[in-house]
Amino acid sequence: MNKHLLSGCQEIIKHINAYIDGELDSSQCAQLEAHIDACTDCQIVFNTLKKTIQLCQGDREQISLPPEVRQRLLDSLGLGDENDDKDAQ
Amino acid sequence: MSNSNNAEAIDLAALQRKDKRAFAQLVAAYSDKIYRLGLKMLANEQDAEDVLQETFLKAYHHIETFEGRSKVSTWLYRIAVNESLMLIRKRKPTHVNLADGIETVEGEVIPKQIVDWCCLPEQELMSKETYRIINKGIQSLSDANRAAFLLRDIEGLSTREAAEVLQISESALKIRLMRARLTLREALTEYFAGKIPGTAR
Ligand SMILES: [Zn+2]
Repeated sequence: MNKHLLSGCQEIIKHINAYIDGELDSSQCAQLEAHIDACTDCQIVFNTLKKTIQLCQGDREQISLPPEVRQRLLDSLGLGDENDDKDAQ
Repeated sequence: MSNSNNAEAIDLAALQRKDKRAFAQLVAAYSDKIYRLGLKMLANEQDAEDVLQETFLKAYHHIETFEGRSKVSTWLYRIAVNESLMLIRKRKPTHVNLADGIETVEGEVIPKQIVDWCCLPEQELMSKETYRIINKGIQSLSDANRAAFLLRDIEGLSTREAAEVLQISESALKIRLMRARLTLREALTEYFAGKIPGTAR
């Protein structure tokens, strides 16, 4: 159906996100993989894009809600004394 | 289809009765995420706390108007994104997004720098400076692209959920996500290229 779409690097780049997110069907996957195997530039874009997402997600783990901020939230919701749930940190 | 994470175990009927336990559960499940979203949207701790407070206060006061057609979490995220955008407009009325420069007039994003930095050692890749570059990159995104990226890649919402939060189509969401990811890749490539001798081009 969309076979002609996956020729050329521009078209590959357009589909690279869908590929990373597992949203391509198997024939589109095969075409994209064949191109990436043969094209160093697209391979590098793919690898560095995937790594970029990974690194951003690694950064996510470094943020947690400060306990005093959580307490002020609970206070303003009138939940100050009731929440003995374990804190995230 | 059943989603067994703690969040969806939250009892909507109890929330709508303003049941304190249910709200405490909602806070426990989502306060970290909403705070993080606010912090990444605004890059300011006080603003992030304001977003957090406003989101849960609005949720508390308006939960009876929530019709349950989406997940409670989707609804919460939508309030939080809207609060963030409102604060951004208040704080930076003349905000300009510089990093959108890699988009062509047709809105396509073309990778500029092709440098394979994946081979760098982990400690180099995951350094403090890397995280600084990432956060600078996130702040440089347009508000629309940033929100899409944060919901999908940082908060882990599905394409459908993130599109629902932003009230845009899934294809529009995917375009924003792609621009954001490619922009961040570009920022990291520029940074890491300097660490690989002889690869600048
Ligand atoms: Zn190619």
